[in-house]
Order: sequence, then C-alpha cells, then structure tokens
Amino acid sequence: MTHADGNKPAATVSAAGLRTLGDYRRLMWRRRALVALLVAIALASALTDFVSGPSSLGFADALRGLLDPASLGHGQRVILWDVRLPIAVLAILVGMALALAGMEMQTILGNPLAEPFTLGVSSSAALGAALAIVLGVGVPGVDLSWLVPANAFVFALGALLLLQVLARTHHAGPETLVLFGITIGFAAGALLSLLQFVASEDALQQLVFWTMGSLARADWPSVGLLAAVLAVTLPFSWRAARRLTALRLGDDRARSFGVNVDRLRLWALVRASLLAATAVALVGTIGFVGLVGPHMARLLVGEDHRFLLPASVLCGALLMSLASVISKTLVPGVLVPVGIATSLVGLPVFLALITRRHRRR
Amino acid sequence: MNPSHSGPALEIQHLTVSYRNRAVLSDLSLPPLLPGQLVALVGPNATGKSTLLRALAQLVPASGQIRWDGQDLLALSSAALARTIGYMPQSLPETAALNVLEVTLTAMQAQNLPASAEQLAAMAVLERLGIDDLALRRLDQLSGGQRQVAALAQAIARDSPILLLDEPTSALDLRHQWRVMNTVRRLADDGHLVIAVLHDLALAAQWADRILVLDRGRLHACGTPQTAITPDMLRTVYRVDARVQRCERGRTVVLIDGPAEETPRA
Repeated sequence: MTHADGNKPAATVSAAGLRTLGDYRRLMWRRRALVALLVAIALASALTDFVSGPSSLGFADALRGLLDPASLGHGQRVILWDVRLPIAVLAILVGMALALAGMEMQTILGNPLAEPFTLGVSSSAALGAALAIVLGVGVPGVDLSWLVPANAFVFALGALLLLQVLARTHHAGPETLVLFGITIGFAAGALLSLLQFVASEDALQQLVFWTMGSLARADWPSVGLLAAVLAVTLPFSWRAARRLTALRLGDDRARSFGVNVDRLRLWALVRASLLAATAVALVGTIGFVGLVGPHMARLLVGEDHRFLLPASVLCGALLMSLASVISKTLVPGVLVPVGIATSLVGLPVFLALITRRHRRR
Repeated sequence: MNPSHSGPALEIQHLTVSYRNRAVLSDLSLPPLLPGQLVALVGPNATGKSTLLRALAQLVPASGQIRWDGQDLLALSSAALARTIGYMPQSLPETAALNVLEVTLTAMQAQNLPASAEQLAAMAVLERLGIDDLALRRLDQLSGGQRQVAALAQAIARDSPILLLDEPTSALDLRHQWRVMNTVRRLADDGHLVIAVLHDLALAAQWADRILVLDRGRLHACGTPQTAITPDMLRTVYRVDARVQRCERGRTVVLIDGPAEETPRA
C-alpha cells in the first residue's frame, strides 16, 4: 500500500516506482537505439545494392561515382545514376510502403495475417496489369508506357474501395472485412487465370514476369511518385500511433480511451490502400514484406506504435533492399525477380526471430 | 428531472437499448447516482447489466437521457467522454505485445499530459493497485487475475469522476478480491461515482452503499444491501429459494436452498 490517497496530489510515487520508471525509460532508449541500428543497416544494405551489379564497375568506382559523378564516363554514369541508384532507392521505398501498409492493416483488423496480399490488393493489381498487357485495355488518356502501372493502381485501389463499400453496407466487423478481402482476392485471381488462358505467348511471358515483381523497371519518376505517397501518408500514420496502440487492446477499450475507432480504421485503410496500390503498381506483386516486416518489428520493439511504426517501416526497407542485392547475386549475371528473393531473405530471418522468442519464454 | 440536490449526479431517464430489434434495456429510469457512492449492479445473467454499463460508456447506441452534472453525456466528444468516464470491460486485454505500464499510459492519451507527468501518474495508479512490480511485465506473461487488475488500472488511470466496472473481481482470489474492492471503495470515498457489476451478492453487500437489482432489462429494486437483498428478491429475480443472514458490520450471507419451484425454463 502506498500513501497516495490524499485528494488528487501531484502523483506521488515510491522510490521503487521511480526506479521502475527509470527502467522503462531505459527500455525506450533501447528501442530508439534499435531503430537507429535498423536505419544504419538499411543504409548499408542500400549501399551494397548500389555497388553490386553485373557491369564491370567495382566497389571503389561505384562509390567514387556516387560522390563525384563528374569523374565517370557517360556509360558508367548512366549505369550508376539511372539504373543502380533508382533500383537501390526504390527497393528501400517499396519495402517501407509495403511494411507500413501491412502494419496498419494488421493493427486495424486485429489480424496478424493481414497484408496487401491477403486483402486481395495484390491480385487485383495483377488483374489490372493483365488487362493492359494481354488485352491492351487501360485507363483512358494514360501514356502507353504508364498503362500497366496505372491499371494496376486503379484496380488495387478499386479492390480496397469495394472492400470499404462492402464493409459499410454490411456493417462488417474486422473479421468479415478480412473474409471480404480474401473473396475479392480469389475473384481477381480467377479472372487473372482466365486472361492468362487466352493470352498470347508473348503477353503471357510479360505477365508472369510482372506478377513475380521486379525492380528492373525502376526509374526516377517511379522513385519520386512513391516517395511522394510516403511523404503524404507517413506523418498521418505517425500522428495516429498512440491511437493505433489503443486499438490493439480492443475496440471497446480504445473507445473508452477517447479514440474514434471508426474514423481511425477508415483513414488507416485509406493510407494502407494508397501505399500498397502505388508500390504494387510500380514493381509488381511482392509478397512477404508486408507481412514479415511488421512482425519482425513487433518481435524487436513490441507494439507501442511509436516504436513499432518506424521499426516496421525500416524492417520492410531492409528486407526489400537485401532481396534486391540477392536478386542480383544469386545467379551471376542474371537479375532474378525480386519477388522471389524477398521470400528467400524473409523466411530465414523470420524463422530465426520466432524461434528465438519461443526459447526466451 | 428535477435536480434538487447540489453538486453533480448521474441521472438516467427512459434509457432503452436494443440489439437486433430486441430491447435489452427498456425504458430504464434510475434514481440519481451521486459521487461518493459505490453502486453494485446485480441480477441474473443476461439481464442487461453489462449493457447498461456499455450504454453509459456509449459503446452501444441508446435512446433516452443520460446526464452528468446537468450535461448531456450523449453529446460529449469522445475525448471529453474519456475524461468523464472510466470503463473496465468484462473481457481481459488481449495478448498484445505491450507491458502493463504501456497499457496504462495508452489509457491516458485523452488527457494530453506531458510524458513525464503521464508516466508518474500511471506508476502511481499501479502502486495504488499493488501491481507496480508488474509494470514492465508483458500482458501475455500475466495470470488472469493479474490481467484483471491491470485492466482496472486502465479504467481508473484517467481519474475520471465516473467509473464503470464490469465484474472487476471475477478472476481474483480472495486476497486480491479484497484488495481490489478496498481500492474501489476508497475511490468512491474520494468522490468518484463507482458503478460495478458484481455477481457475488455477499461482496456487493459488504462494499456497496447501494444495490441496483436488474431483472430482464428493468429495475427490480434499488436500495441499501439490507433492503435490496432479500429472500423475496432472490425468489422473483434469481428464481432460487434462499435464506439471507445478516452478520456483524453489515456483512451478509446468502444461503441457496435450491431452485424456486416454477415451470423450468430451458
């Protein structure tokens, strides 16, 4: 028992309590240090991504080229600045976007398996891309070179919009929302198979390549576009961090804490939709990052979203960047689709974290 | 309707709550409930006790009037409502990767305190409930009873004048039951209005000033433990034959002899 029973004194805490608070603050510093460490590792990975590649440019040349572009010949400059750097940066941005989308979806749906893939976003994007590739049908007025990503974007966003409409008209709870998402995903998948069935051999190959996900199409406009979407959504996610934490304790509790749960859920889904749709439109369907990034972060820093959010974003960036490195080096001279590499990278990391946690318990 | 007493009071008039066209509470009106009171809400299962708390916390749509201190509670913003009402749901917090201190801090966000003041206040709440040693323990590492006390910490963390507790002692052993009820009693003595759903009538009689007996969505009785807990009430509301023995210091023992004779319900 304590003596803190007077009439609302400034909170009085025992010496032991103050020590516990000191421990808590140290815990927060440890988490900040972890986030900083993730930044450093992600940057190192991006740099590795930048200096590795099939051309004859070595580590030292590439580094010199980054710091002093004038020292390079024209061909080398093009390789470094218009191929490798956009790929390295886009990998980071795509990882950030997918992991942030996955984290917000997992939190607002209270479902650890939620991510753009499970909610049908990726399959719908693939369907949109297939329409453009196979039938040449696309969003009117869009330049031909942007037809596939524009289509993918519209379909991905459309899937999430449909999800919202279904949820609203049926007053669906989070579980029903996930089921609706899975349904949409399967429907899009079936239509995609149909298109693949009727596609010419050429279109089919293009389509398969697209659905595997690739950073090879990275260029500066793509980088700028995704960076802009992240710049718009991230601050809002950050501002919602504490409310998202409250949501992890259940709707009733969050409401009683003063959180407008419906509004929080709606806007988080809008943000996640924008991020996932843009990322998938630019690089194709890439699984695993949106699922595993947030889980890695959760195991590292817990679920206080003020730490979980930056950690998720960074874990996603790191996974994607490592996958990009591996996609270049797995088979010498061949750029393996990065969607394959993400699973190869993510799986062992994820398994290691899970088994480590179970041993500690 | 006619606030003759001075100071704030919780006034509930013509409250109706329906789930899927079935009225769980129908036209419920209660006498004014005052700060300083510990009100025990009792009654058989599925009579609307939890629903009444949820309606007061505005977690279910309700019609009627709920006024506190002359203010219409139904018109408050969600943040203002969070500062007025602390609510402890029946379900224990899920297994989120959060520790007890973090969970308590999360409950305080509507107050917009500076971080250090918030942390001190949260720690003081944990010490008051005697779970300060669990502060950095994660929810999934707590026993059911410990989680329940942590849930109570979330409800009282904002120091809101009205506290709604849905079965705060259901998972607790005797010692912790006593400790929690003692804390809740002192919160009432400090000027909070505490409304707690309690299944244990002896516990209700020992600690509460007032007993509200709900029966199928309606108020059956409202009074002191002596006047509300009677063999008559137990027969009509709970449908059991029982004896009620009064012991010293207002303690009550309820002895159940068996189901009251009537046509059995499924």
